[in-house]
Amino acid sequence: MTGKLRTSRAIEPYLYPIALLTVAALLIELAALRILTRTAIHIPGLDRVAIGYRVISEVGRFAFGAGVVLIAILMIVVAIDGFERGRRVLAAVLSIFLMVAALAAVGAVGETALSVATLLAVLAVPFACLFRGSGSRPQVWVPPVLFVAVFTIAGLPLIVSGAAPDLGASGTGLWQVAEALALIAGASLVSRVAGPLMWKSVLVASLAGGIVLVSLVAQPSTIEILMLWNLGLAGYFHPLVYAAATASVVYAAHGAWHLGDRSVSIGVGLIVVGGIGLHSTIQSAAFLMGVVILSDPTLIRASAEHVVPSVAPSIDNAGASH
Amino acid sequence: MIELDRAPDRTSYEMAGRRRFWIVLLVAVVAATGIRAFDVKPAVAQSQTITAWRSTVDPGLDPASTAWDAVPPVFLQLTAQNVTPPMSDGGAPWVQVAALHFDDVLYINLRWVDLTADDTTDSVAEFSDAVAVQFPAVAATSVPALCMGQADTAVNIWHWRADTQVGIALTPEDGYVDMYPESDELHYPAVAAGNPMASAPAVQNLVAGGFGTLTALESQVIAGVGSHRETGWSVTMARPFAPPGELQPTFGVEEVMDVAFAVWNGDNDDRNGKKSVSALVRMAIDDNAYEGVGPASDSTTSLAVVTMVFAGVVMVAILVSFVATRRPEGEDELEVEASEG
Repeated sequence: MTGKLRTSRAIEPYLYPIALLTVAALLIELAALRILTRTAIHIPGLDRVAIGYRVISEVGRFAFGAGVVLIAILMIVVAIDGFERGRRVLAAVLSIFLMVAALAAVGAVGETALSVATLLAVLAVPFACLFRGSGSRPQVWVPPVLFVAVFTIAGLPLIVSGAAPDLGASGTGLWQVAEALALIAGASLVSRVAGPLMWKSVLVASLAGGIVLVSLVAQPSTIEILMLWNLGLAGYFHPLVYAAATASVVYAAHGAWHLGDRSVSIGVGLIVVGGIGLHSTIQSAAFLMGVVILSDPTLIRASAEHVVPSVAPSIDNAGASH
Repeated sequence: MIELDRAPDRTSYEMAGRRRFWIVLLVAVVAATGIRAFDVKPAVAQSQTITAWRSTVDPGLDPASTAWDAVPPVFLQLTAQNVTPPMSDGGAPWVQVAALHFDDVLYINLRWVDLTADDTTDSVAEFSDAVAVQFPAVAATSVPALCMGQADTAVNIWHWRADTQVGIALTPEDGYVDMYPESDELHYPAVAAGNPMASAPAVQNLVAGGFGTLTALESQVIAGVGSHRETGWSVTMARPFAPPGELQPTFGVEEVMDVAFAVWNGDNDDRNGKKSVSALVRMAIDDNAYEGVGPASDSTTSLAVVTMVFAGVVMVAILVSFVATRRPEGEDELEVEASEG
């Protein structure tokens, strides 16, 4: 395959390391604060390891602060880059979301407006990134569009409940649909890794899927409530489905990383720390940037080229190919 | 492989990028330290918010008061508590919550579907319907753990039970053989010992700092009344803004705090940890009376503004983008040739 990546301007070389750091900071926050400290309180005699518990909590809180700053910087860099590369819709979407989130933080914007602005921003990403190039292939646009649909459906009950209370009790059905679509979206990521089967990635993916399967079968209650808190997934379906979806996501992330394409790993990482549905502005920002990076893989790939020695082609660069 | 037609100034470009990266990293570390040191909250929760509106009339404790018809309730999804045994299979799918304040007293009305009124527990296999409201012990939106608080941050729980509201029948209706002749406290050791379960009001005022630490507070001042109709329960609980003691939140107008709810369905054998719980949501105590123009008047206004600004800017951006893409490409392009070996 021969392709030509043409941009109106070189992508900032420091975008990739910032994105990587953002994912790392938010993953540390997810692991230390949202998972470990919330489950550790159930351990009898926790007070005997109080110092260690407090250190981990502080690390998690610091990572949260760093994650907030980094995701904001990442959005600003991508917005400026988008403006300079002629992707003004993307620049406008990210700028408005940042502005609304900042206004909400100081209490100048109401919660319904914030929720609607968040859903509009997520919904605008496919129009800003994907449908801009006529050459986009299904492998490029199907996963992010599915994730956008998942987020929108999961977020709708919150707005419906606020704006039309009588309809609020109907949210459970929508959440089930969102969860089913989320699993399909995860599985669809496999299409982002072109070429023959990579056995190392298959091994890693099988291991991850196996761990999820065993955990869900052996201790469903704890895992399901952690999934609900952190990913917005309630565990409506059979454990095998979650194991398969996890294996697909890990295969795509590991395989693409191995090929030198960091966009899938970083995009998926941000979506995972963001979770589906409306939780907080930081999580919504992470999800939004995850979908942006999945939708416009050239962002990370061209930036990472300054750091990563070689970038192998993958099927998802068609949107920017000529 | 992708081969890059590198521009002559590529190295200096990358060096400039590295410098910017280190500057960004430094800014992030300093800002994160500042956020932690000054306890700044840069992110906003997007969970549901229950607004406690100012009431123009005293709603009282009557669960059927017409004051509750004048404000919009919030529907909260409940999930089965299944973190610690005994685990639930989900006895109640959702709870409807509304809140008011009048004369510096906070009133909370909770309604949920339950076709059976389980309000007597005079055998070991019978369990009572109940509902609970959980606040952080110190009113805040930086929350302790949802599950009964945590070691360093307690939660205050208002627990209404149908059976304690009805009271324990000392004399069975169907005979005198079980009747105990004495009625003074000496013959009722639990009452004499001050066991809160033996002399509990309809609403118990409790505090917890983790599983297994639930304790009744000395000040049992939470008022509450529940009534059951064909479709389910309606329960109203109330407490003055000023806390009656330690480990209980202070309420105040324009304050926002976290709150969570739990429902027990006695007919489903719910008791203790076998219950349906909500996630943490926020409760905002509003100084205004509800005006009946949507979820919140300020939110409606800002919603309209944000939507119009969003749509306007995106339309302009699309237009500009369309015009810009019709121009010839600039000279400062980066071209990347991709070829598969």
